[in-house]
Amino acid sequence: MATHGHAHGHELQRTWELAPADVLNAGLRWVRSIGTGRRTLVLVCAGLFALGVLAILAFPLRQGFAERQAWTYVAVAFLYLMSTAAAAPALSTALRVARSHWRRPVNRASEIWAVTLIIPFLLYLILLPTFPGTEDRLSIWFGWPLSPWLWGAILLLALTGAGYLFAWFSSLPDLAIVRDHGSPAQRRLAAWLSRGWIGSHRQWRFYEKVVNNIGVLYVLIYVPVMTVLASDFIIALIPGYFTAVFPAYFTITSFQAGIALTIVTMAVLRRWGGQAEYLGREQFWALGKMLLAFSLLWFYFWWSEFIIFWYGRMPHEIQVLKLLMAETYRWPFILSFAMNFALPLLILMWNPIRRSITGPTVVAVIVLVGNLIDRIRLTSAAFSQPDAALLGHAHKLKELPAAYVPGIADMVILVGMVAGALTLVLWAARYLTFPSVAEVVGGLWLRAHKPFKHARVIVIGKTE
Amino acid sequence: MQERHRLGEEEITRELFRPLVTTTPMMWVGFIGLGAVLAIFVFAISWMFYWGLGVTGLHRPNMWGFMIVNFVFWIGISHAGVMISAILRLTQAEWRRPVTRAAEVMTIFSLMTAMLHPVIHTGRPWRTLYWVFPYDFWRNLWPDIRGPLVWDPSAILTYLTGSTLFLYTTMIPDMALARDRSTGWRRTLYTILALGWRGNERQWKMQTIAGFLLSGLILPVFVSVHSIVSWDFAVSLVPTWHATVFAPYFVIGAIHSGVSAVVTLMALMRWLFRFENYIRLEHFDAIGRLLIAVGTGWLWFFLLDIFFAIYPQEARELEIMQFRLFEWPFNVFTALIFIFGYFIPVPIWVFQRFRRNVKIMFWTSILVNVGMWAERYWLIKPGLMRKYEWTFDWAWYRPSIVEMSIVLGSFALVGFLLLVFSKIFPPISVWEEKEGQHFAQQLQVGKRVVNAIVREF
Repeated sequence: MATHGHAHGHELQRTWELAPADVLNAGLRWVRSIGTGRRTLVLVCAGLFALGVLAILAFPLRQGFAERQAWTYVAVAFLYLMSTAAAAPALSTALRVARSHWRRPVNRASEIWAVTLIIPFLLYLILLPTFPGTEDRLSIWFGWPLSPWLWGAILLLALTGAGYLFAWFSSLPDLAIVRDHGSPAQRRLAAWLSRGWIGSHRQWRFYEKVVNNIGVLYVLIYVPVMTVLASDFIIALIPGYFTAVFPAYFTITSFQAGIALTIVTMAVLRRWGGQAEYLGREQFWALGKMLLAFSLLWFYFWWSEFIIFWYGRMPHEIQVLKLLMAETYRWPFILSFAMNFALPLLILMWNPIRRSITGPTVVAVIVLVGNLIDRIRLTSAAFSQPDAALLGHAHKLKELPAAYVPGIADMVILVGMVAGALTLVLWAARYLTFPSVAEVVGGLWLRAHKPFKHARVIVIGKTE
Repeated sequence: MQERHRLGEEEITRELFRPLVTTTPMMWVGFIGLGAVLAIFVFAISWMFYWGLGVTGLHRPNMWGFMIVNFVFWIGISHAGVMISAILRLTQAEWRRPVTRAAEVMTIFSLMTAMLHPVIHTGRPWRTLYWVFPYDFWRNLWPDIRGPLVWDPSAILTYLTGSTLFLYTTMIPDMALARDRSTGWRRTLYTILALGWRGNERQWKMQTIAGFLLSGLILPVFVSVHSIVSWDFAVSLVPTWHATVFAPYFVIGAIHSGVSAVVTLMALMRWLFRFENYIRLEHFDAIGRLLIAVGTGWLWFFLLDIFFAIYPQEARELEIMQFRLFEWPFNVFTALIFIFGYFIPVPIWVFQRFRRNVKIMFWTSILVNVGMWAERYWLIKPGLMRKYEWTFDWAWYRPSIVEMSIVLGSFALVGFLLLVFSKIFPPISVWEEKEGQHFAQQLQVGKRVVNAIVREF
């Protein structure tokens, strides 16, 4: 094994020093050694998920679909999963398209979250009946027949399908490894999923051509889906909330949370998953920079809306500001502002912190909590409006509703749905290698050590 | 596939300095052609100053016309420099090397051209100083300091200062190179500009740090400039202007048009200066891929603006949207924006074969900017051609020949200034190209030899 080199004062990442066989062994170690810790975690998460499902059946469902406010935390759970778990695979696509080599061990950590998409899809289906039709109210569907129910469901179904396709297709070579080397229980499913992958030249060519395209397709569906969700779940339910930038804010802040989720996943894999050789400072540093950029974008998109409302001084706009920021949901807004923008900026603006493992991880946790608070703020404000306030085209917020305070059942629902997503990720992790052997070994093939002036550098080929 | 050729340092210097010492017939054609249009531009402005704003199509309530549209357009183009230079420098994208200098210079010249427009639009520009200094805070006679019309010059001047510093910092090593190889007035000029550069370790370190710092610092300014320009419109209550999406929408539109303008410039430099060894097909390929993402992002914001303008179902908004989308001449503009701004170029750029075709890239980039100019007009004008509660009258706006000449002349002005620049300074950064040659290596992978970039860990 080669020794660590130093150039420009920071440590050479071990990944680039490894042989392909080392990576294969690490991947096999991951699928073969499912310890009691992972099993216990799966059981706890599955239990919490079951409790969450029971809470939905016992509380909001019993109150009926007409009581939209009772469904607030089901909607929060749905939007939170859409903003985090569903956004994470988009990061993987962006990194693939940019063809950066450092992303190779990161991809699996972000793509695996696509397996959770079935939960938000089902939540969306049970939330649909809480919405009134769009014939006699303002909505981005403009009264289109069967909107938002049918068309929204089709969009969500397309996203879920594309997400599973992306997660599956990007894992094909690794699934074949599990098929050939895993335990009998793992082999059965892996054999079915790997679809006769033998790693022929033709298969690799097809894989490389298609995997990026499926990822791009996923992003191209994700953005309109988030636009529609921002409109249906927030804008159309708050009378007088006329804003074109909000869907962009909603989508961009979801990308921010998707990056944060990937960083936290990486930190967990590094700490408890034996991935320290693959998920090093290089990955945390690069994603830390992205997280900082997206935290600045959080502010930019929020400010773009705020300044127009504040400067314009239109009565209905001032009412919306009071509801979402200044009065009813003032504290959730302040927390959201601090956790999505101010703290990430103040912490990540320092390069030594960005270049550490702990710095980006702490900020990622802050952002994930901040994003949850933001979704709670927006959803609670939107789901507090009775149908009567939405019907017709008057659409003005006459009185500010009281803030919605969650009960125990709401908390159980929220925790349960997040735990459900975790269960699916942990289950999928049984069949997928960590790190992605195909990705990391693909990078190692393009690597060479060469002298460069007084330093020893790694040269990585760009195939185009 | 990369087309990189191994070039010696002396060869790079000689080839990149070539436009400074030889003027090709095509360059003469450029000078004469652009100079002629520029003469029309100067005449049109002089005519307007002499006779007053009555020679333009401006009248109540259409007090903002072609000149303001053109101002917004050129501010947009100026975003290319920072987009290409700062972001690609920070992300260490290798393909930036041959395009940064031209993009930065274009930023400065298009900013200067943009700034010219509000000044001549006053009709009596010499009075600008009288109005502005001393600024009257006390009697509320002049525009409010809290208003976007005052933020505008502050942001633009900051951007111009930052961009100039940015360009200058990256030019210092080349100035020293030029100093050591020239005589006469050129030597004097380059000696002053080189600031005693000797290329020692400390100087290189300072230059690198300054480049990175300015890249980081200029990014917020770059975003703020077009955001503030958008707020000139959005903070007013004019229907279709009062939109929260305007700031990011203007910025992404600016990047779309600015990066397309860089493609135009790259093609022209390749043809005009015979820079095939430096501006290679892989650079068009890379910038084409960037443009697919930027263009698609722009389309998203464009659609957000339209859909959420219709969403409130307010009579006045609907009226203007109807006017914009379905009535002559704005229906033609709508089609131009969609077709030229997105539906022709982006599907073409999806194919690598076309991204590596210089002629196709050149023409598609021109189409984008035709579409983007139309978009600026489409955004600004319809909202003013209406009668509101607080206006006395309404009327159509028809640009006069004077305004058309000013618009046409502004393109000639930027082109002419770029040509003059390339006669005095190397249009591609010589030291960056040489650095790139050091970083480029070849690597054997199986039976193939692939080009590789040195990465430091």
